[in-house]
Amino acid sequence: MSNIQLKNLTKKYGSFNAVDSINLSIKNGEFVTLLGPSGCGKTTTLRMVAGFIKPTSGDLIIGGSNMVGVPPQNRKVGLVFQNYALFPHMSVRKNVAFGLKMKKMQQSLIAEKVNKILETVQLQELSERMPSELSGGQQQRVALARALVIEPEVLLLDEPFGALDKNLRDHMRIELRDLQRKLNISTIFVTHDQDEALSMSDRIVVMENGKICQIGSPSEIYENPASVFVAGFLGLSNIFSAVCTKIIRAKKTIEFEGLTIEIESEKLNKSDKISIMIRPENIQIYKKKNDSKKEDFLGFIKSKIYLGSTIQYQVKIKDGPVILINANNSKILNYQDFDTNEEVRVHLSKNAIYPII
Amino acid sequence: MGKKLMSNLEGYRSLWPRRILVIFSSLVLFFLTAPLVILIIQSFTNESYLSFPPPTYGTRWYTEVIYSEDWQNATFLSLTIAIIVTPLSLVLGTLVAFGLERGPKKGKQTIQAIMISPMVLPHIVLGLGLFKIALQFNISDSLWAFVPAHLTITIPFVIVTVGASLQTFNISLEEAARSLGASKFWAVWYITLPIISPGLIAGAIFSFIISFDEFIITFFLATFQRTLPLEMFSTLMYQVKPSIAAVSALTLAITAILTVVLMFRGQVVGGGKIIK
Ligand SMILES: Nc1ncnc2c1ncn2[C@@H]1O[C@H](COP(=O)(O)OP(=O)(O)OP(=O)(O)O)[C@@H](O)[C@H]1O
Ligand SMILES: [Mg+2]
Repeated sequence: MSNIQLKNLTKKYGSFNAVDSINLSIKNGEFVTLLGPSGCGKTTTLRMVAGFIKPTSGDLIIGGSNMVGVPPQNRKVGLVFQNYALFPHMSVRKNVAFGLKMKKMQQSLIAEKVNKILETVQLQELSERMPSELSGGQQQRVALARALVIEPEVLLLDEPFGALDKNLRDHMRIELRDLQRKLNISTIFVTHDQDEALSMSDRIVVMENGKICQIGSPSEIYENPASVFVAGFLGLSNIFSAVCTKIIRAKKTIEFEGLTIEIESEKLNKSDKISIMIRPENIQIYKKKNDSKKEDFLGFIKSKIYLGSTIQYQVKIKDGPVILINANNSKILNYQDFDTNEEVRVHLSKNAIYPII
Repeated sequence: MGKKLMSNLEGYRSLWPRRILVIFSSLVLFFLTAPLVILIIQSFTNESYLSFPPPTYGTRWYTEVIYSEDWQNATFLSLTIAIIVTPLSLVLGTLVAFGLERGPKKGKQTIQAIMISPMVLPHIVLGLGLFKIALQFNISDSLWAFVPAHLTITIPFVIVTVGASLQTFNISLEEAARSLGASKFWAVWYITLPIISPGLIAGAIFSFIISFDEFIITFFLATFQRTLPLEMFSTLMYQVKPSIAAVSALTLAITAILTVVLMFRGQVVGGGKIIK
């Protein structure tokens, strides 16, 4: 329920920058995800916000006041751990009541609040159980209820669904997001699961080596990645180095891996060396027989992976690269099946090619 | 039919290792407990000498021991020391264990080795050293000497048992408590201590029992005062009376009862009843 600002937040271990001068501003009620490969500094950032790690330099402002030096218990921050960290010697009810008890709240008020939050996460019936008597998903909900019952200004979650199976994880994602919206609580969520980041976040912060690479909405990050790293980290992509060989106003001709193609871009200059990204779902393939258009490329199917809703092909383009193509496997879209080694036509539209400058 | 016979034979064969194990374990148990059992039986003799089995049975020696002022004083002194030593040892040992586990990693091994060295040091050497110190400060033959002396050998046990519990303790539980508004102290009090209580209980049991039957070091420090083991020793110097057997049986009973009580308390604490 409060805005959060990280200003040049830095954590060094010796000369190693675990978190390197991060700037991030989170609005009231916003759901922000920190996404990045292992060791990029997500947990370190989160623990600095929670108060368990003292920043080497920089400021952390929550709801207008600087939190650097404030101990964790005075930060109004709710924290959910990857391993839930439920108190094993206390029942569900006592786990949830713990934070209120620490606030020296009246017994009757505690009971009321605990009942209400247990109802919200649908755990009323299990309130007298011990944590060891709960399933992973139920433990997860207890951890969430325990963090939320103290009405924190900020909710921090460190890979909270890491230990759950896929179905439960999908379910918990929706549940958490609904709850977060209902309570309108500013949230920082840490994950290295790109699906989770894309499906839940208002904004995604992509990190690498302690630095922020890009901040943006899920669609911005996915469709307009700021760097090759971001493009490669989110979803599948074909990434090639390319050179701009010809310019006619906004029409630019680029060459990559022996292929020449014309795209539209404002920024590109002649002889610029760039990278281009082509998402596999934006490439079409056709049977060779069909009347071929001039700009299509010829190639053959090198491999084929059946994925259910889509089929993933590796296509070797004649005198060109091997590219990854995801074809929709929908029976109503008149989809054509291709065999390994079959010769095909590959259609690369201008819009499919995203130059990373 | 042949097949059936075979499987029967196999059944026998696979039973044998188990049987040998059972026999062997029984033998070990017998050798461990036989002296104690014989002692307890002997203590119920009505005669004025020790024999096995006793010709007549009675509680004559128990009555004598319980009403003997010497034995009363010795028991009282031993209990007093153990009751003072146990909580002190628990608190100090736990603090050291926390310091070793949570403090800087540099030099941890060395400090730990020094801290627990009294466990392996010959007690006679330790006793001699403490004797010199006690003389220096003019405190020998008093609680001021007995209690610190016993602490030097009980604290290492607490460091080891509590340290082992702390190593397996998941620190994020404490952090969870802190993010829920508990200060460092209350997080340890409400979360860490109840969870590591098996280690605390074990440390307490060790401390009490070790202090209660400590002989060598106390022997160096005492002149007129006698703890129970010292009283037993000096009685044995003169004669072997059944009273020794009765005292031994009583000591055994006290330690056994204490262990059971503390372990039961441990279950209660571990079950989370510590927070009302
Ligand atoms: N106490 C420490 N001393 C030295 N280096 C540390 C310490 N804690 C973390 N690091 C380093 O800081 C970097 C960031 O760690 P962090 O735990 O934040 O990564 P992460 O992004 O959460 O990774 P993961 O996805 O694997 O959880 C890592 O390279 C890690 O090795
Ligand atoms: Mg992490």
